[in-house]
Amino acid sequence: MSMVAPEIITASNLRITSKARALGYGITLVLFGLFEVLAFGRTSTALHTTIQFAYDSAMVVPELSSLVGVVVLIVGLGLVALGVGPRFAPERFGGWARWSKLQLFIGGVGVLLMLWPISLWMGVNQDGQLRDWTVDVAYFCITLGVVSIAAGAVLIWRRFDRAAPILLYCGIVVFILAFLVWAARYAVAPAPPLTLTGVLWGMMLFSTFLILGAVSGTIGERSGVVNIAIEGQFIAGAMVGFMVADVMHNTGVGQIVALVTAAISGAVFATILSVMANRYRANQIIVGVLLVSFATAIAQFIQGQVLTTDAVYQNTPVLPVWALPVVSRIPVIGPVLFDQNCFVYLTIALVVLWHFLLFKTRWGLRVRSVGEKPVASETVGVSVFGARYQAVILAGLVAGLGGAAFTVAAGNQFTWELTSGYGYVALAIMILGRWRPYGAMAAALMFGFTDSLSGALGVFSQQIVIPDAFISALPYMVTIVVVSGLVGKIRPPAADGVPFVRR
Amino acid sequence: MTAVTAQRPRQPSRFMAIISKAREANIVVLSVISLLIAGAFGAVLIILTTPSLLTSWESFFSHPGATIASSAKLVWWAYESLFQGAVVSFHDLSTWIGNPTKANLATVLGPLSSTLTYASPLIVAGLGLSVGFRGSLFDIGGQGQVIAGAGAALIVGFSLHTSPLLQVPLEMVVAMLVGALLAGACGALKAYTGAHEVITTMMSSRIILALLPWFLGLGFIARAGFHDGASKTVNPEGQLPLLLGHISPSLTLNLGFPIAIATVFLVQWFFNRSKTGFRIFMVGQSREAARTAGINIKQVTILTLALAGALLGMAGMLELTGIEQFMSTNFGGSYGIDAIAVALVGRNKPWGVFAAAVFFGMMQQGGQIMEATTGISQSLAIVIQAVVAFCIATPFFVCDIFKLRGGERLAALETSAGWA
Repeated sequence: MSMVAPEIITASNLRITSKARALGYGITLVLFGLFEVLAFGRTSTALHTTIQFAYDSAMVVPELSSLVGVVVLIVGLGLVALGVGPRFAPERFGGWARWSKLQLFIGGVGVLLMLWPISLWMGVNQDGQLRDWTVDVAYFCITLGVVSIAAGAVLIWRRFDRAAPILLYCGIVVFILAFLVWAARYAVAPAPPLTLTGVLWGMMLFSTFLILGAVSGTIGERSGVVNIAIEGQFIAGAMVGFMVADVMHNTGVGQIVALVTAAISGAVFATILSVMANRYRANQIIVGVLLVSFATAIAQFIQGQVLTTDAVYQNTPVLPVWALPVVSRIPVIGPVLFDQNCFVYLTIALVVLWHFLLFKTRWGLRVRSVGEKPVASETVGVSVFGARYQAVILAGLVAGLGGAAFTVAAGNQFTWELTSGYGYVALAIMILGRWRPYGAMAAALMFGFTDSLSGALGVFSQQIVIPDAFISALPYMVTIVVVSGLVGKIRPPAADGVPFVRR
Repeated sequence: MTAVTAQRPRQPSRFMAIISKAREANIVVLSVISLLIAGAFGAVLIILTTPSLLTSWESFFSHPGATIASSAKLVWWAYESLFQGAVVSFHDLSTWIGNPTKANLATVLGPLSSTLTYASPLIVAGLGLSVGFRGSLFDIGGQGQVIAGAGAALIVGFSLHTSPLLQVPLEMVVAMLVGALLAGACGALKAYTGAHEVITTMMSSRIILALLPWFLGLGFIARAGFHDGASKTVNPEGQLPLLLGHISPSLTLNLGFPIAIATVFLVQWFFNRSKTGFRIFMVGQSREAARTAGINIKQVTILTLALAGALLGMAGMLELTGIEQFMSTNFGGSYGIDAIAVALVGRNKPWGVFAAAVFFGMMQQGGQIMEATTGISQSLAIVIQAVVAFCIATPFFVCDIFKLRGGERLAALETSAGWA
């Protein structure tokens, strides 16, 4: 990548760039809206779609009378306005430049309060069960499209630079919703409903290993070591976790031990990588690729020699699903986030932990400084090699745990093809997430969503013009677009992949 | 006059000279050591995963000789059948010498023929990767280019009924063109936006892999009566002719092998004698220096990846028309991934790549025979292959452990740099 001189960030410069960005986002929104109206809205008005909001009927929303519902809705709306408003207001009217945690909290509570009466009015909760919602495909898509066009037009006209990203994200979500409604349309009543929460639930589970892999890559690269061997650590973690869980007969303790050993096996590979990268100053990309082929070979050998002949390794362990007490009853969000496989909770906790470790602790500052400018770090007394060894080996623990997601968490029998190149996808996710744990999580959820969606849309494959192969290929296309710098600039850690030579 | 006899410098003894020579790191010593390490590693794996041997080690202290002998026997048997399955079986050879019939000759040539058949596409794919490495570009998504090239060759292969003299070159040109376009697009992204080629080629490969079932399900591609993604077969005119077909039709060695050898010569000429090859080398060594010398970096970057993609597409075509004759969802196995290791083990030298690919082919074919005779999983051969690749491509490590001198020279292997 050619070096570009850093731009001087001043308030006026920032406004110039973000105004231009708002124009681009507005045009994108208008295009989305036109597509929704022209492509999806053209369907016959006789066609309907049923959206299921719950994947099972285990949750209850407390009843409200209509009048109290209105009050709750207004209170919720007020809270949302209070939380979100100052972010969008111009600076001279006291607008805040950044999201504060209090704002986010108030806004979140407001959204939840609004969801409560709305879900009741939609008739989804008359006998303690969340129900279906049937919509007219043409009118629904045209309405969404018109709203999207209007939002885009306002953005083009006024160039709200701060609201632009949020509006674009909302536009993307709306577009996906319109696509889903259009894809699952039917004419005759007993048709398979598209379970919205089911798709989202699967998204969380499908993205756990991608999140963990990408976070692992992030930690390593923040310290300046490129880890392309995430795939190898996945394979090692998946295999070791599976074998340990089966040897220990899938008891609760056994599964915990399996997760721990899976993590350790990932760290073993990370140790080899970091010795090669630090002590021998080898090319890290080459070492990574060779480690992957080594792990694949070992896994093939173990599978052919031990797993197929030994009667012990025939069970498939699976981690339990935990429904958290109160929060799992929130419509849509509850079943997706709080009624999950406990591995999902572990993953989210690890993301939060690693964000804290990397960005809020002294150790994290050292790791990041070593990845940006190792010579300067050594001058002030930071051990470059020490920080790199620690970061890469700890990252190996995370990646090994990600491998366990394939077998121990999801309940699959181990085969060496199980990881099917997702380790390399995690690498791309790390870049999409801009070398940040939360960013990695967001990008991984996109991949998890398309994976989950192409599975759920299999029923409707007859009537979708786009084959689901294209839906599976979509995130990779998005990756290429993003990596090409078409959406914002990408800046890796400065010393990423450069071996350190002590002077 | 006192005779001043000059003190002759102490000559090292001939024995010490040989030792000293052996301690100079060169590729031969490195390969031998790598093979020994891999063999030892494989032996440990065999012993660890064979229950009867493991129990015999319990009585190691009472009967050390018997324990070691039984382990060594199985390991030796495994490696012996690996070699005989890959190159030539001595038993069959003596049978043929005693009774030189065509059938016996076919049995003798069988293992070598299938080894070279497997190796031919791998040679070309490895050359493709080494062209990329020469320009410091890592085409990690070669698998996609292999499949795309094969897909293009497939369409030509089943839709035309011309003479082989016309159809085979046509298939090859189309496959190379598609591979070059796919990789060249990634090169253009690298040249104009700075997107790293490891990510773009990998993602393009994933896209191709995701679209492959759709491609195989298209009306004019799918074979009638098959629903699980098998394509039509290439017409006989489009298949690569067998070379040893007159001895026995079971000898699969085909025109792909001479084509691969010709490609080795061509790439060697390209690297050592051609102007463009030198430009690619310059850009690979130092972009800044090349730019100062007036080389168009962007053009060379696109060209390098396009050439690599062309060779990988050609490998796909050789695989399709020489071996498989039709495409399925798992077409191409892991040629794109193995090619990386082949290029690294061959140290980006055309004949090195050739030797590495033949070695990989030996491991693949010998592994199957070994599994059939000894019951040890054929993946042992892949483990040996991976360990050898690791030791040769990261020579620092081996040189440090075995105290070889000059590891730096060996490690000066032009490959891809870090991100960005």
